[in-house]
Formats: sequence, C-alpha cells, structure tokens
Amino acid sequence: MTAALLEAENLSKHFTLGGRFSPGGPQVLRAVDGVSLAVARGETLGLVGESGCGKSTLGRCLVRLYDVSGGAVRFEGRDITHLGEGALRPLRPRLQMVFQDPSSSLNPRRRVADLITEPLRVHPGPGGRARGRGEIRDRLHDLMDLVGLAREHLDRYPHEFSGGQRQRIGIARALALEPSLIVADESVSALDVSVQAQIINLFMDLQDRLGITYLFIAHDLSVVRQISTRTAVMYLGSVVETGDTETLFHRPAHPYTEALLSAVPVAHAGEARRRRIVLKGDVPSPLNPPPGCRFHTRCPKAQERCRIEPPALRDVGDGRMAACHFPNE
Amino acid sequence: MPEAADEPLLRVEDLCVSFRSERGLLRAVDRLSFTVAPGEILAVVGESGSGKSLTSLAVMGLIDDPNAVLTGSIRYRGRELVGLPRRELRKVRGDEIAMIFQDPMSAMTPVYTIGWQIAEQVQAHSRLTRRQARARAVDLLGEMGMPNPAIQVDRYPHQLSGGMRQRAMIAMALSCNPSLLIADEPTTALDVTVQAQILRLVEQLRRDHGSSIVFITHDMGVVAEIADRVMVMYAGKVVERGPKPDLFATPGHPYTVGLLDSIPPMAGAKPRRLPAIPGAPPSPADRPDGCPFGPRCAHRHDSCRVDPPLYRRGRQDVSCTLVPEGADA
Repeated sequence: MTAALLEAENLSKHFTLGGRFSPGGPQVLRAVDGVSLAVARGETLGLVGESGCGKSTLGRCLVRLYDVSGGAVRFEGRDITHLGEGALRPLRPRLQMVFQDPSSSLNPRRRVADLITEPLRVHPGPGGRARGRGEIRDRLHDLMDLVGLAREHLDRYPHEFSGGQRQRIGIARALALEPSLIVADESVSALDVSVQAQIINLFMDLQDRLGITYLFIAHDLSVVRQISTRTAVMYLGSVVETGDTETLFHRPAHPYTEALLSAVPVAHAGEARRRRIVLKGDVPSPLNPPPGCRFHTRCPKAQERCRIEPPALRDVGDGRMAACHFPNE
Repeated sequence: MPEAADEPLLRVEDLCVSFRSERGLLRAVDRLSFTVAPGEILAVVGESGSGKSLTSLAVMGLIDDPNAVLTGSIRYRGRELVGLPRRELRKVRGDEIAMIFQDPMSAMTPVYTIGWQIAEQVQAHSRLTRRQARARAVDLLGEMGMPNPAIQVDRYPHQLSGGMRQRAMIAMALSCNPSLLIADEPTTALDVTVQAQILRLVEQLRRDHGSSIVFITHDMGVVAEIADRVMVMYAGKVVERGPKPDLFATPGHPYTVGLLDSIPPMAGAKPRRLPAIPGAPPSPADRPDGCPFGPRCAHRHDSCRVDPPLYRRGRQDVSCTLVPEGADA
C-alpha cells in the first residue's frame, strides 16, 4: 500500500519481566509480535481485541511512545523506527494521541485555556517562529468551538467538568497542532453510554471537517463498527484478521473474530441475534504463548495442523486478510 | 401492588438514602420502590450517579457512612431489614442474601488462598468442619466452571485471571445457597467472551437453585440478554420499569429511548450520527427541580416543572407526563 499514512512492518514489542535474581530468571513478554498494519490517509482503522492482546502497546509503539523491539514503523513514508526524541519532535504535531482517562492525562492544577494551548506554546508555528499571544487566543477559541466547549469555561479547572467534557478538552489538545493522524486509545470507554454517543459523533464530525486519519483502539465492538471504515482484530499480540468493517462484521473469516462478535450482547430489539459461540477458558499468558496458531487452545475448529504451524496473515477474498488455516468462507 | 398475588421475596418501599453535607442533605436515592419475585432476574439499569449501586448496598445493609441517612422499608420474606440489629442482619446476609461486585479483588483478601476464603464463609454459616468446608469450596469452584478446582483452590486471588477471580467470588457468594443474589456490574470489567461465560453461569444459578437475582448494570445489551424485568434509574429515581420484552419494544420514557438509541447497532444500517442525549447526568449535589431528566429532554414542556409520578402504561410504569395522553388506560 503506497497511500499508507502510518505503516507497521513486522513490528514487535517485547518487555522483560523480572531480573537475574527472580526465580527462573528474566522472562520475555511478547506484547506485540510481528504485526504488519497500514492506516491509509483519511480512513479510520478500528483496532479491537480483548484485554492483554497488545492493542494499546501497538498504539503506543506506532506513535513512538515506546521504543520498538523489532520491525519498522513508517509515518508519511518516512522510517521513524529509530528516530531519537529530538528528531521525533518536529513530527509530533502531526501524530497525536487521545487517551482513555482524561482526568489522569490532564494536569489538575492548570486551567482549560492553558491545557489546550500548551502544545501551541511548546511547538513553534509555521516558519519556526514562536506563536504570538493573539494567534494563540484565536486558535484557542476555534478549538473550543470545534469540540463543543463553551468559551465562558476557559478559566475552569478539569475537575469542574464532567467526564465527557474532559474528554473534549483532551481532544482539543490533540487537535491544537492540526495533526494528520490521531491514535485514540479507548477514548470513549470510560464514559456513560449517553455521553459516549456524543463523543463518537464528535470524532466523526472532526474527520469530516478536517480530514483527520484515526487509529481507533477499543474493546467495544459496536463502537468500532460505528466509527471505523476498516477493522483489525488482535489476539495475543498478533493481528488475526483485517478487512472492511462491514464485511468483517457481516462475514468474519477468522474463528476468533466470529466468536468475539457472537459474544456481544445485542440491545436493539430488531437485531437478529448471532449464534452464540462460547469460548472455553481464558486467553493464554503472553509469557508463554501456545505453539502453532495462538488461538488453537480455544478454537472450536482447531485441528492437528493448527497445533504445529503458525498461520500467516493472508488474503481470503473480499478484501479480508486472516491468519487461519481454515478460514470461514 | 397488583402483581402481589404471591408475596415477593424482596419488597423495597419509599427507600431514601441521603448524605449530610455542608450544602445540606443530598438525596442520592429518592423514594425508591420495587419488588423482586422468587426466581426472577431483575435488571437495574442506570448511568453513573443514578443511585443503582447505593440501592444494592442499602439492601445489604452495607452503608456504614456516618453521614448517611436511610429511611423507608426493605422487607425480605416479609421481615423488615431496616433497623435490624447488626448480628441479626449478619445472619440474613450470606445465608439469605449475597452480593457480588464489579471488582473481585476488592471483595477478597490478597493474603489468603481463594479456598481458605470460601471455606471461612462456609464455616461461618454452617456446622461443617474445616475439611468438609474445603471440600465444599472445591465443589463450588468446579460448579462455577473452573478447570482443575482441586489445584485452583490453593491459589491466591492475584494468581487468577479476571474471569476466574469473578468465578471464585461467585462461588463464595453462592456457598450458602442464597435465595437472593445481588450482582453489581459483575461483568463490566470483563472481556465480552468471558462476560458471555459469566452470564451463562448466572442463568444456570437461577435454573438450578431457583435464586432471585438483582443484576445491576449500565449495559442495555446485557439487560436484553439476561433480565426478566427491567428497572431504569436516573438521578436516584425510577424513571421506567416493566417486563423486558415490553420495555425494549416500546420504551416509554424519553431517557430509556435515548439510552437505547445511543448504543451503536451491531447489524443493519449505520446511522450517520448517533442520536445522543445532550448534556450529562446530574450529580446528586445539583439535581434539577421537577422532572430530573427535564434539562436533557427534547420533549420538555411546562408540566415537567413538577416531578411526574409513575404512570401505568400496559405492563410498564413510566415516570413521564407525556405518557397519560398516549397511555392505553
């Protein structure tokens, strides 16, 4: 894919747990293990998976909040895998992140106006000169209008806002420097349902108006279906399926995707319920992943071959890619 | 009450929970009445601050804040629990009514094995010896679908996954065969595939033991999955209640309608924008006068300045002034 704005190639992130003196010596946790993924300009790629599958770690590697253990990350066609802090800095304005919990990512002692304009004061404006006071003020007003915050709240502190309003502040901050890509990590999961819908709408409106590309990380499948054009499913550190969102939700190729979708309780009266596939047991530990296909221990379709040979992500038709020896039609 | 042909297991009447504060008495739960029939699963739905968790703590007699003021009546099998001496209450709790929480770690002590903790509970409420109690713990864990219960029984809570910990807590709650189980967001912290397993377990519990279950959740999908009857709470009040099929097919209160519409659909056409409810739920400190949902309601009119009572509509009760006009007598 040449039009990719952000690309991961065979990306890995390993953490070492314990030291020389812990029983059994240090252990290697393969949080992300050989993931290849591309986010095209203007699209929203939804990244779903259960807790511990490595989706957040992958998100943080892609914006280089973490150093990468192996593979490559390319942003706007440029290899940023091994760039140092200084070299990354000019790229940061275009590559932003919105977190899950706005109350822990916003400084409680700063006013909203300072929080939102901080990126504008830290990063130089076009041409490398510092931004003037008037310029910053104008931009602040634009941003507050853009995310739906009232201007009379400029001088309030984060704790004076509700969860939804705080998330709007976090989004305004990420938008301040006109990013081309935002990685949103569980950005709506902590919100009440009625408020969550407002923030999903905000993300979608911003994309329409500003043409931002999103990597939208979430565990809630109905949210991902609403917001993303394409979806990638992760299991135990690897991507097991990618595809156009509608196709993937309608005709999942990987048995894990199928089971995951079938487990979502359906709230709407008119929606036909999927045949529930209840998976046995728990996700295996990423410290000691099973050999062969990592899903074989819980897969209802597993066969001998799955226990030995790890399946590669391959084209299974209709623009779907699946890492399975026996994908669904 | 018309449905009181056979005596309900639990009858809560005019329950108010208030807190003394520097701004006067804050009423968190406001004149709440409901019943739970034997063998019934009642889902209590609401967003943060709706008073749903506080209601369950009140039923368990677990509100020990010195600034809390509790009035009203909570009758279990016709016996009044409000004002019951601690020792008496303690016998009801555990023997008759048990509770499970969202976070099992907060309900268990980290320094003893799960087997020890279950056995302690069993011994406190029966005459079994230590060895018998331990055997009972192994049986219970097995019933909860825990693999190798004889080995798991000697593990500490931190050694278990979230789903397994939740099973251990359910095993502990069920150790004395309670007739009423109160489950406060028991699946909220779990992944959907594990949530499906736990919901199945709850249904099995009702089938095998005939227990009644009060299931507190914010997730309408889970409600659709498991409930017989639904009670929707907003700002400390019941805004709507009724049998599940009726409530999902013809929700009567604008808040219930909004809550259902806010959830992105899992199938069918995607809405361009989600029909979100504007604003955020009010905190107990600044609840509006009149109908609590008024400020966020699209149908607000003059008569909403008076807090509406629950009107009967078919098999539903709806607290909205719009209902009488459209009510089927």
